[in-house]
Amino acid sequence: MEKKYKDIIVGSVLAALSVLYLLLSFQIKLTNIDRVVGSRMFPQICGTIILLLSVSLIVGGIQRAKKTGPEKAGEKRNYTRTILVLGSYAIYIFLMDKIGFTISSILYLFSQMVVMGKWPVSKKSMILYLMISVAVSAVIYVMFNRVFMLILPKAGWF
Amino acid sequence: MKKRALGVFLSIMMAASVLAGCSGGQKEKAGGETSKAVESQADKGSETAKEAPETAGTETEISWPENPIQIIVGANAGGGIDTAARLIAKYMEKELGQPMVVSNVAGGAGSIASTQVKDAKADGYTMLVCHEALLTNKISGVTEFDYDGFASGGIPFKVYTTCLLSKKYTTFDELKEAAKANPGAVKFGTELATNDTAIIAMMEQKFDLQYQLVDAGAVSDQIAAMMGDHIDFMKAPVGLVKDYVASGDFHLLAFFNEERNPDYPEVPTMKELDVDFVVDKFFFCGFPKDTDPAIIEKFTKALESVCQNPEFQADAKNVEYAVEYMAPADTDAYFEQCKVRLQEYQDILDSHYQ
Amino acid sequence: MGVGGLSMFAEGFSQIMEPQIMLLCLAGVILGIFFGASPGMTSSMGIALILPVTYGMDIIHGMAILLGIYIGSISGGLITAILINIPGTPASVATTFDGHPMAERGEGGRAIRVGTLYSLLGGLFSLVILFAISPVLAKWALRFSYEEYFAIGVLSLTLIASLSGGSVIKGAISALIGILFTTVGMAPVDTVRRFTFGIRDLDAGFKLLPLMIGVYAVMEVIKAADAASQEKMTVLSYKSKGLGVSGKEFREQFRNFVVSAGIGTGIGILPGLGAAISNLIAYSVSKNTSKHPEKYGTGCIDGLIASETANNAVSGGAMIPLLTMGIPGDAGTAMLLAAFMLHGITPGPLLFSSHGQVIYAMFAILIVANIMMFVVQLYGLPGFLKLLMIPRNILLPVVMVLASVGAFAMNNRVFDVWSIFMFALVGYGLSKFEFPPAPVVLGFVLGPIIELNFRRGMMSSYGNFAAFFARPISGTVLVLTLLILAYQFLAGFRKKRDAKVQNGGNDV
Repeated sequence: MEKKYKDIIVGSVLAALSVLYLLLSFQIKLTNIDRVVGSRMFPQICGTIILLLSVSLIVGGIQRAKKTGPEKAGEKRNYTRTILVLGSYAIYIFLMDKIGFTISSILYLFSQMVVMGKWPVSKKSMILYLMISVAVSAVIYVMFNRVFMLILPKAGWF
Repeated sequence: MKKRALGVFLSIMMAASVLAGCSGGQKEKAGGETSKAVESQADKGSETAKEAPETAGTETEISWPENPIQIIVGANAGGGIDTAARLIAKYMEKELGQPMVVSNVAGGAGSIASTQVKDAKADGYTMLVCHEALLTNKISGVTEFDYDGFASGGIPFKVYTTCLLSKKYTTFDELKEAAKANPGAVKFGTELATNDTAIIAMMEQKFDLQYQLVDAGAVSDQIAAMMGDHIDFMKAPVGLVKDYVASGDFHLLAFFNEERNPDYPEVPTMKELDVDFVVDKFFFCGFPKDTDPAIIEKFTKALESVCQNPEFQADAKNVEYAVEYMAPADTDAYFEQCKVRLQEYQDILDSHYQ
Repeated sequence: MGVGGLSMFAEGFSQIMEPQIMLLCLAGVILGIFFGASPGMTSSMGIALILPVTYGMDIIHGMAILLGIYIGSISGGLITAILINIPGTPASVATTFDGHPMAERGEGGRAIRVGTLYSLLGGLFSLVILFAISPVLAKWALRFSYEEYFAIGVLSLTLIASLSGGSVIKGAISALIGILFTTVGMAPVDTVRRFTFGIRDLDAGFKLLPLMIGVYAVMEVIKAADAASQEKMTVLSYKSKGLGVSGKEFREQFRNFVVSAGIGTGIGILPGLGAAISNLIAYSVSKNTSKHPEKYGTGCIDGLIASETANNAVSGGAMIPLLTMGIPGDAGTAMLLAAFMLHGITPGPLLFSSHGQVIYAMFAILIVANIMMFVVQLYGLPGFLKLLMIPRNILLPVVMVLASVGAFAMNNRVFDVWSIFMFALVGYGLSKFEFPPAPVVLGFVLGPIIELNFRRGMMSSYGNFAAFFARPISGTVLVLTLLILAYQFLAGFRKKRDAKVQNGGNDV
């Protein structure tokens, strides 16, 4: 992604989203309960402001892009880890109420530690991660189900 | 390094155990772990009544509750419904043997909370404590259900002390005079999404006056607003404003009952003042519709027993809640009766604010 | 009905000087610090959990532990804010701005000492105010009506633009993004559904906690993962001794301290605002009135002091409306109110005369709790720092799990945990395109306040917005806001003009 176009891109996306937001805002019902202001005014004011700001962002971005010369190729960013991080978290949430909080926590902790750690993963590290995952999940289970009496997502067995 | 983290956790758990020890009475049923595991398997939306043979002398009892029960409340902590729910929790915990955890889910005039419970798993571990907004929300269109969305757990409290209060004016007549002198300037503060505005509609119609409606939030916010003279009169149960009345900051203008309140015999009812608005205020315990009747039965028996507990009654008296147990069998009819009145008021409201 | 009287104080202290009460208070403080430090768990959650435990105790024992949690949790957030750049509670968002850079320089220990010291001082400052002039302040605070709250909300937003550290426009957009998220759900006043698309879970809207976790914690996780891939994992050494500030520094920072403490106490007195707002406002006021604003954000202790003083100062201020009128200022004090009600005490104008002993005992507890918090945090400092020796790839996932538990525990909905994921994507986008995250948090917190008070104010004046300017307090604040806005735009133009003159400076 060219750095100099960043503002233009994001400005355009924001502008588009704010237009969408404003359009959707007309679906908000007006009732007798509050006839002075209603529930549409505030979203519409805010949506308009953000639209204007996005446009000025685009304008500023265009000005800046014109001034900037060609850019040297920056370091290539590797998004693998980011995707893995977000992906493992999403899977964790998905599994939470399907196979129980404790089990999914163990899986998540283990996989996240691997994803965030040094690659390739040594066997010693894997064992450490596994032990910690189990220990932490167990402690949290005990703390929250027994001592604090919060109600963790349940399904199947703990 | 791992030891340190564990050490931190352990010291926290120790701290927590100190409290658990101090509380006394938060014991969990023995064997809860295994039967919970077995039960959860069968859980998908169906009941969890498993009959376990008990000690000699009792009938076959269900094992519910084996886990903490969550009470969802549609208002913030410290207010009227919250206090009612916590009172119920405080005593029912001892009866049922499991902790009852109050969860505050404010918003939508209580409808977010009631919808949440209505759609919750019917395993007896989620319940609702609400007041008459349950009925008014359907009538005013905020929700599409009222008590019919729930299995009734009974009513422990009624409130006969809802009154009209003002800081500036000492009598209802003064209130009328002020409105006559300054049409549209005398402000009534309330949570607009409730149907309290019907009161103003009635007053305006009956006396040909004009008042101003201001959304002022929950009772504690209304108190602050009135103390700051941002609103001129409000409606609240006396129990929540006792001290303000006693100190003379607020004046009782009228009560919303059929008859005068014996504790305040000199204060007229709104009916006497020609405004036929009567508040049937209650606190209701509701479970999701398909909850096992055996669970409801056990709950409501416990509730009835709690209502006979003199300590419970004393606690309720502190906030001016009248303990009057109503069994689930009777609540439907009672609600229908209340709805008649509420619908009337809604009609007046709709016709007035065209 | 004064609040003074040394004899009453002595009596208050004598009431609480028994081992069980002290132990309860200590347990509360430790728990509070734990809840405060854990992203994903908040002060009100901690109080809510312990509240039922207090039913069986008398009110003073109950208050000992509840107030301990309350005080501990406001301060605890600084630990994680400084050490891992994730604020433990919204009250410590501004602490990350300078606290974490200090930690990156190896001064984490010093940062925690400074933060803890000023947390204590801020708390004590607000307590002194509470003792000395609470009836006067309470009456004065009552004059703040809807128009005033609206004005303060808008003023706070404009101040935050100065936190953007660069583009004011981007800061403003961040703030608005925060506000727009709050418009999803059932609207205030008339409960109309907005932007919910028939999805039930959206009726309640989004919550602050998932936003904080998604925007802060997950971003740290991603950053750490990236750093690991580039073999950049370093473990820092932390120097630390003493109080963190020298006598000279203390004198230099005195004005900063007093202003921040005043802001914190003032915001505490106004119900509905809270520590989440006070730390950010104090930080930006401190920055804007400083002789060296460019140092803020690089690890200068001025910013750290402003933030941690202001958030703890809210605690004493919030007690004022609670005790004098029974009006809770935030979720934590609402729980305290519930505790009172459950023990048969309705706070109000007669509280001092009818339950004076309880009040003075509470004052004593508050002082003790502040001191305990100070001692525990300093004593535990080596422990906290050791915690930091845990490699990030082990520590942060654990933080995420704790945070997810916290989010779920708010309402028993997996939806709230999914919100974290959604906000993580938002946070990632913000960071990629160089938008500051702090205004999002503030916008999210202030959005409902601004809208609700706008609507109520308009109702009071029959739709006449000019009335907002007619009232003395709100009028002044609004004019001030406009002036600040104008100033910031002019400053922005001047910067651009200077950059043009320099010819060639591309990065703004």
